[in-house]
Amino acid sequence: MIRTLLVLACTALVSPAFAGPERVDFPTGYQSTFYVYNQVERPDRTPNQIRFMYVNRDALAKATGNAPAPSGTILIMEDRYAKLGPDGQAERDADGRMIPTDRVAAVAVMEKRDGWGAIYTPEKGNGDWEYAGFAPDGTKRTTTDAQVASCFSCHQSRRQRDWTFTFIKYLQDVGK
Amino acid sequence: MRKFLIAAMLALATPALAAEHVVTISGSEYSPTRITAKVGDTVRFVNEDAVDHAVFIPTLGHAIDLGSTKSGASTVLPLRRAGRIEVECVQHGHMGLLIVVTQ
Ligand SMILES: [Cu+2]
Repeated sequence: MIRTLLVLACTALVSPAFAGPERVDFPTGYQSTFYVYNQVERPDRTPNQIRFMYVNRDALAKATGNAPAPSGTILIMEDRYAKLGPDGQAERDADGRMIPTDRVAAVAVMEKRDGWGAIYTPEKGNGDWEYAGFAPDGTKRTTTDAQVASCFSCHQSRRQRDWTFTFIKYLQDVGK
Repeated sequence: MRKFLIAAMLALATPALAAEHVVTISGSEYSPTRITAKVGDTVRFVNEDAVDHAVFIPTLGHAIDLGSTKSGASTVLPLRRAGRIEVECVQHGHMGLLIVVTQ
């Protein structure tokens, strides 16, 4: 009995202390260290936003469009407010694209590490990806179970692209 | 000859009318799956299905997310820039539409 308890206690100690969004840290300083690989306009948001997509440069150097992203990949979805004209409509550049401000509305992170997916069933899990949401200053985590579940379920439709909407597609489109 | 001149003058004076291209969403497919258009045209997506669909473009330089289009509703995509634009549905990874936009 005591031996069983000891074994259980030891197992608890060597198991990861955190599971789910707690495993994903806010990537402090990402605006200067990560690479912006795409900008997605959100005209459906009021006021309009532009979604900056970032990847850490180590992962970008290793990644290709015909394989899952490498362990250690961190993707950031940063929602910025668009620059508005006097009429309240988004201003546009010569190409007709919205112009971003430096005001951030929200930051969402997806990160993968070898083995992270082991705690999920294959149907629920997104490979080894985990998700977490942050306020712009990185201090406040907005990660209720329901919010994280919505990350997992929405990304299921891109299982064939390693559960990413834009990253593997970006690599394929630039021929990497 | 005079008719030709008048027609030519009208063509010069009148900007080409922007066209609205209609894409229906039915049976979880876009229809048609390829259209050609001009800068300034619009594409109206009409969701005839009972479930929500979306209009999402990951193409670099054109990327945009119009959010969900509810059953029975429609969404309009303005074409502001020439290029080969790939439209996808957020909810359904198999859905695809190519829009070729020229000046
Ligand atoms: Cu759909």
